[in-house]
Amino acid sequence: MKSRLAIAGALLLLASAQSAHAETVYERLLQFSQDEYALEKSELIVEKFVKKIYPKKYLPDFQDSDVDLALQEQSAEICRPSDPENNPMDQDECAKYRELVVTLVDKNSQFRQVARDLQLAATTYEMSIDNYPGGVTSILSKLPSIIKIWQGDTDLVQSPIAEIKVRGQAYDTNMDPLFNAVESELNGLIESANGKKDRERFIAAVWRYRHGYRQVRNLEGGCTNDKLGDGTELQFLRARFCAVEQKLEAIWNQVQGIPMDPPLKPNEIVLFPIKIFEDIQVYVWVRLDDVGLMWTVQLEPVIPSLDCSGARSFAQPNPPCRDEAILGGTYPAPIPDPPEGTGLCSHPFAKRGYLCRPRDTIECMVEPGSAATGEDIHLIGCKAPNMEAPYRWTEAGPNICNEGGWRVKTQGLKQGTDTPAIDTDLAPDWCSNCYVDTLCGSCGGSQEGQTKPKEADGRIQICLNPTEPAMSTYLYIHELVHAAQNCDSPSIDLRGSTNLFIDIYLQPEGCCATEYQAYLAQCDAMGEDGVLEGVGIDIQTCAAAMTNFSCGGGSSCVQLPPGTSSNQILQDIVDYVGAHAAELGVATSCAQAVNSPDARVLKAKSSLPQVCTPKCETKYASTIGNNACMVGQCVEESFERHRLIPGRMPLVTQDEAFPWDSDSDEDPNFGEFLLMPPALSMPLPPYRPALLARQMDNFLCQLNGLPTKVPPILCSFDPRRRLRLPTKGFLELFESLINQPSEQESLRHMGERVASAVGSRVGTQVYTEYLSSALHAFEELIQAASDLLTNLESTEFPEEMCRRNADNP
Amino acid sequence: MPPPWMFFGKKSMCAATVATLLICAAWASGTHRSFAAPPAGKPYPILAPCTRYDDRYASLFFKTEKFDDWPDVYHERVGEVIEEYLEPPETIQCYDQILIPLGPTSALGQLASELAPWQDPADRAKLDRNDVGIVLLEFLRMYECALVDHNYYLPMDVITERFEEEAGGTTPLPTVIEDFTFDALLKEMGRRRKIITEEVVTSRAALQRVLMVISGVTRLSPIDAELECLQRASLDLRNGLGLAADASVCMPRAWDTKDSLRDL
Repeated sequence: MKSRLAIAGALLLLASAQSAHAETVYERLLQFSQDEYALEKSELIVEKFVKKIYPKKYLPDFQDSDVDLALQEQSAEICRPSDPENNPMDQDECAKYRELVVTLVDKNSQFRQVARDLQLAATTYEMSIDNYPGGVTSILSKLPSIIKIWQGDTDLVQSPIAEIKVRGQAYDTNMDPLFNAVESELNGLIESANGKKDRERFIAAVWRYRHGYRQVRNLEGGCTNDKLGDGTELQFLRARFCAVEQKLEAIWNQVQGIPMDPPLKPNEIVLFPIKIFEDIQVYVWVRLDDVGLMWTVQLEPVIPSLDCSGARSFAQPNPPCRDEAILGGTYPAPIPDPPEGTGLCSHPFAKRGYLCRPRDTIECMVEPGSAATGEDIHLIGCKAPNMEAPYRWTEAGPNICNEGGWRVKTQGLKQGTDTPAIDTDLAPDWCSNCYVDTLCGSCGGSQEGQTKPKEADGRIQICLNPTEPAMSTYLYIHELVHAAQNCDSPSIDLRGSTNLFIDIYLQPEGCCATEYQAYLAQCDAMGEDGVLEGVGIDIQTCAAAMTNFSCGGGSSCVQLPPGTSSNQILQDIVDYVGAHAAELGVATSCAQAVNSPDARVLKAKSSLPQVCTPKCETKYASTIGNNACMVGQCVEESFERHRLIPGRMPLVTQDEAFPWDSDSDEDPNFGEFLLMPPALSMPLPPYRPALLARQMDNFLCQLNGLPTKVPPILCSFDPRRRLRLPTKGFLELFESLINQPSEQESLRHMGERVASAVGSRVGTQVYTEYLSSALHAFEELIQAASDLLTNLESTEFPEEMCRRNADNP
Repeated sequence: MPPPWMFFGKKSMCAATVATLLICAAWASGTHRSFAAPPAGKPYPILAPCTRYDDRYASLFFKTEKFDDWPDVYHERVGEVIEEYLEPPETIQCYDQILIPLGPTSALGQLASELAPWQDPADRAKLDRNDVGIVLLEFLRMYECALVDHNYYLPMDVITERFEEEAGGTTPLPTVIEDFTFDALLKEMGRRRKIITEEVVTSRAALQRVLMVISGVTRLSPIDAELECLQRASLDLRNGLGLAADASVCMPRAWDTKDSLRDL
């Protein structure tokens, strides 16, 4: 007795271990192949379907289990003697009835496998470029990380690439119970019978919530009950799984309570760690705005449904639903495309892909190397027209750090605080050539904002008087760029009523140059907050339109496409900001913008002082761009404002102290440190599906030994081929005629196999073509920077002073 | 004295012999080497033998396991290699020629070492992580060979196994097994043929599908690895430039330099 119990216990343990066994990718694919050939067993769903549609007049007692018996050629088991209609039944008749079962199983198995193979073809490409970190490759999440290491703060403003704001956040509680509930719910959707599994509802549920349960709810309303299928073959593309939604909602509710430090910016995406369910090869992705499901490896698609029983369908329309089986040959209305910005384009990295957004650049021509033609599908759309940006105009030198602000903290004012009124007590510290005094009030005339010339003590008055108070922050950012442009210039008193900055500004091209930079910073801030997305324009068009508006109207600075109205764009922006101020989190009055300044305003103010002045504090985010900016600006300030060759102090910067200064010996290290690689243009490679389709057509004709024909179906089976070229004997002729369809079938099969592999390669090719050249250029840049640092480290300083006069040793 | 035609005939024979020797020499020199012969210095031929009776396959499962276990062992090993491949690589050697080296205990390396083309350590050393396709296809080929081989010798194999089983590892083998009838032999052969047929039909299809699925990883994982290295290099560069930025604040020491004689 004891031994029996032990055996029973061992069997139970074995059974539980078996149920907990995770099916690997290979095991699933092996199962596909076994199902496809259905030598001994059919899929559970096919088995039930065949039983429902099998003509009862042949075998009235036909059961589900008879399907497998038919595949195993057990005719005697199927044609039961107990069957009153068919007793006695001769063996030939029974074999025919059995053959019909095998044919029905074969046809369904083959169809299902074609659908799965199509999915596999897509998977080969998509699996490696998944959205959420944790997959086999994580190219998509690495690229933004690399950009973040490189990007200087002013690069972000002056060369905007509309980078997504993504934040990683850990859970603050144990989430396992919530995740386990989801896994349990999904497991419950897998039905088992006779050692087989029916995964239809499970597969449908995972695909249904791949873009998040909240997106489904927003688009289709709440899930009040398990609204299963509508009884058509596409039913599981529209079905809802309320219990799964509830479990996902529980996770979403939990993460809403997690405090965010620092506070979230508008449109900032928060990613939480994914949870992988190894046993079912599914993971849950969690964002602050949504929670959804996805496959670790996408193997199975939603195959047209075969079952419209009450357990699966809330309706049984006839046709196509008959005897709880969904018959083929009916074509339900296709699922409409998702609205713009939803579906694939709602995911954090995919939304920046070129299927989901126009290319953000002011010049958007078809690259010469791309050779895209009219019949290509252009994955790269251009929202911005082909415009030429105004030149950047600086007073002296390149001003490497640009305008826009890159330092988070500097010395600050020596005395006083900037308030919305005129502050007479402000005094700059010794690091600054200027300081800003902001005034909320009339700027004279109808002007909404104005930056006045620098005064003798360095004071630059910024006046803000926006018609829409919620625009104050953006206007402030704009005027601070003008303050930065003016900051290191001589004050007005040196030359009477004007200074060099005003001289530049008063020229038409000077106005465009100075205003464009300021509007670029302003529009970048609005783009970052999502204002421009709401209005439907990009950063460059915004900056161009507003620059035109400020410098004479029309297309005075940038040629806008016909029909584009700068006034209208400006009005749309003002209206949008006014209507969404609370949502954007911007100041709603000028006083608030000055008293509680935005982080970008603070950064712009902190970036006004000199960089390299002794005893001046500077704090900035450590990125390659910011560090390079620090070094470059130090060098620039040294050359522009100081004398590095020993001598007397001249009257103006870099003036000659002695006549022989110009004869000084050549710097022996000149050009030794670095040879920069040329800047390479990186055109996105064209994707030509029409061409590929045509090549596949040609391939079909080539397989049949025929020239290209249109349509290519003409290259398929042609009974006249053998009739025109008869064989010697009639028997061979008939055999050849009979075999022609199977020849065609084998060619079709071969084409189908090849197509997926070719498709996979073509898809990857587009990706690698771009990345390989981009990475190559990037590698060269890193190599150059590495050489520069190495050479700086190994610089040998001469022991003797450089000769001041080369001709007179 | 022999007739003249006989001399002529001898000459012809000599010429034929020389020609044959030349052909043999050319053959031996390797210019027309059989693909079934091992290349110079290699222990295996270009076309490895398609049989399970070759000594090179002594460690493969169809030499050590019972036939009924073959499918499980084969699919388990393929699955193991695929799962290993789909795991994100943990070690990336950015300074090496091969960015993602094959670990010493890797399933792929272990499997390859049992197959003829990688039994030479020098060849195995060249094995790359992305060679997963060719190793698995060679493994499949050997599996198919073993199945076909077994099918070909099925009656003898079944009888031999049955007698060895009856003997329980002892010798000599029994001469007669009472309950092992001809009918039992046919039944066992039929059962095995079904397994062989199913395995031959489905194994290749399954492997082709899985290789197709991982092909995207095969093509993109080198780029992924390079990006990882670029990320690391970028961090190094950022830190280096950070130090340079620190050093740049010393520039004011060189500003407005004056020498003692020209100090205004």
